[in-house]
Amino acid sequence: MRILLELGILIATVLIIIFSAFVISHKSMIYSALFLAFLGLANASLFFALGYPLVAFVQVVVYVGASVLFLIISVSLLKEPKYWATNKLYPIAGILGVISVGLIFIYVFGAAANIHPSITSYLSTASQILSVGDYAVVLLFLLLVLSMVISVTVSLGGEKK
Amino acid sequence: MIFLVYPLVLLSSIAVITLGVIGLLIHRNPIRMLLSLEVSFNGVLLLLLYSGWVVGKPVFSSSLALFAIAISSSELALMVSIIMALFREGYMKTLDQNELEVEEEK
Repeated sequence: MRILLELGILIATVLIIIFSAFVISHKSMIYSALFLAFLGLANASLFFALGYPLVAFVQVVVYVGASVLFLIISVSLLKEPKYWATNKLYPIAGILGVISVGLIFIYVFGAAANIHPSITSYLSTASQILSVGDYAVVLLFLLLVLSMVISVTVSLGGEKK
Repeated sequence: MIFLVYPLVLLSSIAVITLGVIGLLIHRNPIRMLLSLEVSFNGVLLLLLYSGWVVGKPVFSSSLALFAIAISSSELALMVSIIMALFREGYMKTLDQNELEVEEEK
């Protein structure tokens, strides 16, 4: 079972490098943002394989599910370059990316569940955050509220003209 | 096989950070630079968690990683909203890099 997990880690590391290269080199910004989401998912599977289920969960829900999705929607509202659909290989690469990330996600999660029974439990992580970084939690909360207020203000500022 | 696979995580995180820095240097489009920065962030996060796993302090590194994910999410939303506002206000006519280069040549 451990060999299966290590095989999954190997595939996930290769996928991470491939998706990073796609994010950097793709001409369409929408596809670049999409490959960034795949990169986040492959990263989350590696986190789970290393024994960080809570971080993997937060990575999937907060980072990929909220931030990168927001980025994809924002980029899709912008003017798309004309040459985005000239190469038909990129949509096929996107579909293959979805399938491969999904498979590696299921595979690594299934293999890691029997080997690393959550090295970092949720309770220990929460107690660590609250005991060591209570001041940082308050600062982080204020930072998130402030960034949300600034984002809304900046977004509404353009409509008044 | 454990000696072969787990250092690959370290190598891949370094490769991802390097790719992000390269993308940050070669692109001049603000959204592309932001995407490259996010690629680099993913590599740094992987490096952070891997170092915590190697050193034997997984709780501390996972706490730091959670903070980093939250801050990166807020930073991403803020930067995208600023770029969108600049684009709508007319400070940038297009975000297409090739068209920007054509305008500069004219």
